[in-house]
Amino acid sequence: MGPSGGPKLILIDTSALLPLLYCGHGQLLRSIESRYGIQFGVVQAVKSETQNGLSPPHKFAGRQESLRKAISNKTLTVVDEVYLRSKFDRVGESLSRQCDEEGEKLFYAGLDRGEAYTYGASLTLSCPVVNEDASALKRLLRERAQVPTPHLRLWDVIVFGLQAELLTQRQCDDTRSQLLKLQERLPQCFRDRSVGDGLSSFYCRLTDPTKPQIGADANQETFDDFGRLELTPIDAELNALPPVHPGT
Amino acid sequence: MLKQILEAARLDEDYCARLLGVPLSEFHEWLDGKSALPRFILSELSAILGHPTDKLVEPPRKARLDDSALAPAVWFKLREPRLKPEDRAFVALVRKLGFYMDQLQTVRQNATRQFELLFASIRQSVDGSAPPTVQGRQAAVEFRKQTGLSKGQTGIGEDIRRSIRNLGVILIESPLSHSQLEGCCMRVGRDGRDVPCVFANTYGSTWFRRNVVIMHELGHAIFDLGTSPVTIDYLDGAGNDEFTEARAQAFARDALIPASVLNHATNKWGIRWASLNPAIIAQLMASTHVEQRILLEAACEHGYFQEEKLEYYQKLNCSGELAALSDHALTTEAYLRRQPSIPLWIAQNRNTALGGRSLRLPAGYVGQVILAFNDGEISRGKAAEMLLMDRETMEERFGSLLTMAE
Repeated sequence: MGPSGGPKLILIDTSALLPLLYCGHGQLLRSIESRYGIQFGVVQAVKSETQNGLSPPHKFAGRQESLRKAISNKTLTVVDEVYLRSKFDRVGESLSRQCDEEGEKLFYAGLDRGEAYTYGASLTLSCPVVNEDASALKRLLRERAQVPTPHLRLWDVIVFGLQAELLTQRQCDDTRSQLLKLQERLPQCFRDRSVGDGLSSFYCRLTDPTKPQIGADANQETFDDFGRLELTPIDAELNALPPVHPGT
Repeated sequence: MLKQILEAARLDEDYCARLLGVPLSEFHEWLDGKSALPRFILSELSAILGHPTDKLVEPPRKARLDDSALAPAVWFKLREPRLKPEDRAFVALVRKLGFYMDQLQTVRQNATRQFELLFASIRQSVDGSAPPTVQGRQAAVEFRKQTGLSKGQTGIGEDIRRSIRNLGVILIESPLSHSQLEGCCMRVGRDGRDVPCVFANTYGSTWFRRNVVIMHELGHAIFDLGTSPVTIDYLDGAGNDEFTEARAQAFARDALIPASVLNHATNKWGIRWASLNPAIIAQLMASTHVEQRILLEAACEHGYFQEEKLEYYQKLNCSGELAALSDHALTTEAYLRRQPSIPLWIAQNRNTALGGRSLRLPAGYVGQVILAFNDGEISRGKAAEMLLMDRETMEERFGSLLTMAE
């Protein structure tokens, strides 16, 4: 749905949004938006699930405010009819209906509510998705011949933040520790190693071609062969932005 | 409109929000008309309420309408004073489960609607002008014949659950404490694809009693669901109208313990009906799979002993003898632990709770959800959704069984 330079919208599913917000990476999303012109979005079902997931008794409880803040300051946009109308004028209404119809089909085809409506919007709007649950993509691949690519994971966003110098290695390691404490699944290369030590085995699917490359050059995991997304800064001067501080 | 419908149905708004898994604040915005009901919630809400989706999104009526013009049929019947808010909350939970059971069958491509043909054929075989008890008996003969349960002339208690589920009927046995509800039957699932759902309350009940309750509710499913959205049976024996109750009860009794089964037991065990004692009654219960009261009523009616003895026989306490003869006299948990074919996790991890109400998921359903995930037919999140629990709880309970390579 974006100009030739790449997509303008990346959708995030609940499985990736919860740990991102819990670890205080709302600011990272905002920095990516301002430097690369990429808007992160959620469908209504994900907004709803995330709001619940950030409340007690769930393990990500305690960061409810971060979601409200991210939506109110437009770090995250809710991809609904209002948003689509604002971007596509009259076509927005039919696009919204199409997103919902696709979402409903996928919901009955074996994806959970958030995943189904996220991929429904992603298929309609041709934009990539950040999702921690590879089983959802596997299911989608059985359902559809073509799926949005690349398939982004939480750690693609975090390692991209490191490459773009929006995060420090220490911040990445803190995130790793927080997620380990919550018994969240981590990529194989970061399970027993720090981010710095495991980086050479991580093929990051999100990259800035204007910066020195980090991580593995070759595919490491399933779906790495779906390609990587290159984001180019919209203004070179903004590259001088200091690293963000999670939680701020 | 949704707010008016919930009020008319006597359903608690906050409970509904928790049941649907949406934040309270968001749900109240929908109720107050501050934001439109999003598409992602419509199908589930429609399945729970038994109300078409297009009616849910209608704007609120300005004119004050009587509740009978607003409450969906199933919920209007559930406003019965003997049912407490907790009972209605439980029914809503059962309806949600029915919604996901239907989805699982669709995904696994094993959805069946055999009940439609069977029920129609049973109804056709019954003389509609006959007394209700005769109709129930005729239906029982046809049911046993068409499901193959008439072979062997032994108790069918161990086979009825599988047979009923194979027909495409949803069967749920779960404890519902402090409730007058013993069993009920209703249609659940998506509009146009709904299926009968039979529920039996296991709280304070025995397996032998539940066999009767299940077959009684199945009798209602065969005859009454076409005209009534829900049938309710209470612990005190009162239920729907006299005619339908008599027919459903006769169906249950003759499906479980027809004369042929009594004959077989009599010959096999050399029963002397004139001098029954607790040990003999326990033996009969263990082999026919029917509770004491129904067993003795059936035997008396078939002329095995004089009616004067019925009350005396029914008062004999044979629980100790029965426990020694049948594993089914154990509690559900203890029974499942003893069965080598049933994994321990099924016995221990089937309870789910949503919005403060707890429900015991059918063991076969839990197993099918896990299989569906491992076969790549559903995502991890969908598995949790289908098990009516969050991902963390699912991982804690079943993590080691979820083996699909990701």
